[in-house]
Parts: sequence; C-alpha cells; structure tokens
Amino acid sequence: MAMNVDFQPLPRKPANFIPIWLCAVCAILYAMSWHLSLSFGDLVSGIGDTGDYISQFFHPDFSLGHKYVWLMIETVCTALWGTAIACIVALVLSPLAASTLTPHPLIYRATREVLNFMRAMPDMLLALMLVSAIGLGPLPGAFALGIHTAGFLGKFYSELLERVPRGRYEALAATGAGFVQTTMIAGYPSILREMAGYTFYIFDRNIRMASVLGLVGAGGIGLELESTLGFFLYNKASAIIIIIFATLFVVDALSSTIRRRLT
Amino acid sequence: MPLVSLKNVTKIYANGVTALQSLTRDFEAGSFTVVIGPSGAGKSTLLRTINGLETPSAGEVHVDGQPVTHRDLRSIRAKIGMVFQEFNLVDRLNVMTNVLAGRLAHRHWSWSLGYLFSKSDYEMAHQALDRVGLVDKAWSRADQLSGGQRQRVGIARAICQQPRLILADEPVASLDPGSAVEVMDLLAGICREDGIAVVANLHQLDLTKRYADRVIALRAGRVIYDGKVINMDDATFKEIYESNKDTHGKRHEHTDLVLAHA
Repeated sequence: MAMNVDFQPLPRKPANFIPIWLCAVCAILYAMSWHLSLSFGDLVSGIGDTGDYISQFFHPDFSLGHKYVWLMIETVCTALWGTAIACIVALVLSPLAASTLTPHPLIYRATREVLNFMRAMPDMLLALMLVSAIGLGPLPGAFALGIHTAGFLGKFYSELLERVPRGRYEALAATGAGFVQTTMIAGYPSILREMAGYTFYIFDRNIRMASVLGLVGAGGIGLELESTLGFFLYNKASAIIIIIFATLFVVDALSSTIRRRLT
Repeated sequence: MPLVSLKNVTKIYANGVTALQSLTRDFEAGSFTVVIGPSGAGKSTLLRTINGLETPSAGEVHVDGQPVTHRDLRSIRAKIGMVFQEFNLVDRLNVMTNVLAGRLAHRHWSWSLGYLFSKSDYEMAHQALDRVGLVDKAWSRADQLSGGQRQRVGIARAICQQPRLILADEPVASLDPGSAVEVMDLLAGICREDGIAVVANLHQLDLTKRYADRVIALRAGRVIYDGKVINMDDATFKEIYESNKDTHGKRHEHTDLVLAHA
C-alpha cells in the first residue's frame, strides 16, 4: 500500500496539443464548406438520382468493344512512351540532383529546380500546348506525360540515390572513378528494385491520365469516353470504364510480379 | 624519395573538430604501417587525406612525387587502393564487376554506360581474385558472400588497381578473429611480395604486433608514437588508449627518443 511513497515523482507530463489541432482542423473544414457553400443536404436529397445514374452502369454495352480495345491499346502505348521519355530524362537528371553524387552544389540546386518545374506543369496543360504545336494524336500526349512525370521520377530516383550508403560512392571515388562511372557502377544497381517500383507506379498513373488526355485531342480512349457521356450513353461509357479498369488490373499484376523477381 | 609525404597537414572539419594537427610524416614503399589510437584520434582522416577523400585545411600531401590536388585526383587515386571497414561493395553486382571497378580510372566514362571493360581488365580481375582465393565466386552476387569473403573482394578490387599504396581503414573491425587473420595475411603478403606500401588503421594489439613494420600512434590529431613495434610493450599500448590529457607532453619526449632509434 505504501509502495508509491518511495517512488521518485514523475516529471511533469508534457502538454498534449493533439485535441486542439483536431478541433482546429474540423473548424477550418467547416469554414471551407461554408465558404464554398457546399450543401450536404443536396447530396442526401440527390441520392435517388445518383442511384438511378449508377444503375445504368450495371448494363455495359460492348457492341463497340473491338473499337474500345483498340483505343485502349493506343492509350497504353501513349502511356508507355510517356513513361519511357520520363524514365530516360530522370536517369540523366537524377544523379545530378542527388546530394551525395552531384558534381557541384550549384548543379544540384539547378537540377532540383528543373525537376520542380516539370512537376509543377500540369500534363493536361502541356498536352493542350503540344496539341496546338504539333497537332492532334497520341504524340503530344506522350510528350506531355513524359515531361510532367520526368519531374516525379527524377525526384524519386535522386532520393533513392541519396539513400545508398555514402561509403559505396566513396569506394568508387577512391579508385579514381568519375561521376558517370560512380553512378553507373555504385548508384543504379543499388536502387534497381525501388526504381522499378516507382517506374511502374508512374506507368499506372500515366495510363489513367492518358485515358482522359483524349479530351484535349491528345489521342487515346478519352475522347470516346467523353462523347459517350456527353450523349448520355451510360451503357457504352460503362463498357469503356470496365476496359480501363481491366487494363490497370493487368498492369498492376505485372508490376508486382516483376518487382518480386528483382531482389 | 618517400612514396607518401605529408607536410604540416592540418584538418579542421566544418563542425570545428580538429582531426589532424600539423602532422608531418613520410611513408616508404614496401613497408607495413599500422596506425593506432582511440576513436576520434584522426586515424581515418589521416588515411583519407592521402587519397584526397578529405582536403587538408593546411599543409601538403604528395604521393609518388605528385601533389594531391583536385586537378590530378584521378591519376593519383588510380595508384592508391583503399579497403574499408564496411567493405563498400555494390551488393547487387557480381563479385567480378566489383573487382573490375578497380580498373575504372583507366577507362573512359562512356564504357561504364554499358558496363564494358577490356579483356586485359578481366585478366587483371581474374588474377586479383585468384590471389584472394575467390575465383570460384567470380559470378556470385556480392551480398551472398560472408564478411571475410567480402573483405577479400574489397582487397581484390584494390589489387586490381595495381596500386603503389593500399590504405586500409579498420579492415578487420567487422570481422571474426579467423577472417581477420586471413585478411591481414593477405595485406601483409601483398605488401611484401609487390613491394607496395600498406597503411592500416587497427585497434588490436596482437594484430599490430604481428604485422606492423612501423606503428604510428595518434591522439587528438597528433603523433604520440612512431617507431618499430618491437619497442612497444603492453603498457605503452595501454597508455596510448588512456584518455589522460597529461600524457601529451610526456609522450612527445618519448616519441622523439623512439624516432632517434628508428
């Protein structure tokens, strides 16, 4: 009973601010919904219509299936080329943007800014610009995706290169190897598996993006999706969405298989 | 002319730590030098200033008559092999490619884009692997080897450079005693047979006694002992590792004495 008398008293418990932060976040969310005049009442009263809308998607119309599949192949090719462009640009830029590898701090800063700029340019906007510059079709779509996602891949790769133990780079530098040699021998092989993972993620993302790039005339299945929805052909739209979903499912399965094999 | 000469080398790191204080020493070809001293005494920094991994804050380093400056780093480093405590192999590459890395200084950078090496490079790597007894592991991945084997690959990489000097930064600190002796035997053999200089950082008195031609003891960036290992007894060794600041002055007298002998 008298045990606790001998204990050294605990130091004062540090204040816990998490409840205050949670309240602040809720307040800000409420203020935003009020400012944007979001009405959750409308959402509830619209449930019937939404259900009606969704039910039409349960009867997909595959009468133009072969056309959709062909367009989907074009979409996947656009995404593939976009990813390939992004991958090549990122392979060149990422070692320059890795603090442990870069030949000079100024090059490091400059490359980081270039990558930031690429990420900041939305691919929809790039596609619009490129369509007006080089014409309709999948080519401007591929370039738009390539430029935008090169910014992402460049950042991912450079961060992976920075996580490689510094000693490996030093060991190569100590033999007299230069920047390119150190990157090729000690850099890329060390991050291969993680690199493949990020690249597949970007490929997956590019397929989803390429599926809507058609809206601005950059090829692929997007234009077809838009026009079916525009004409309220929900049965056909449903078929297109199912095809997109199936493609993403296959790509995801493929990427996890390949990543498992790269140990 | 000595193979390596350091003249008044001082190294102060950006965080204000002084690793070397006006250190002047020469290293001769064909001699096995062991550098001892407590952690933070400047042993690693000493080794790393010799091949330019660290730039001295003051003073000069010459290797083979050439000043170690940024401009000539590639040709100087080509002559210096380095062995690390953590081996620093590329795990996902095979043993052969890790050893071939020792030839990079002699190849144009564009070759590395395709992981290309010349036939003579392969022959040298083969020879180096034969020397460390790992020819049968040539095509195994580096991360499938044991610690001792990995350090032998590290040594093969250094041999493959056909160096004039090997720097070994605590080469056996991550190894079991058996592998440690194997690795030290290899380094000593290379030193003797090829007549190249080896400078190694060690913490073990028994290995130091067994392999060193010359011992340099560092404390707080200064040399407190430099001479033949024969002149060192256990008490001296213990004293080097004692954190008694008062010994500085006393040891300097002793160092001068030993230097006169050597």
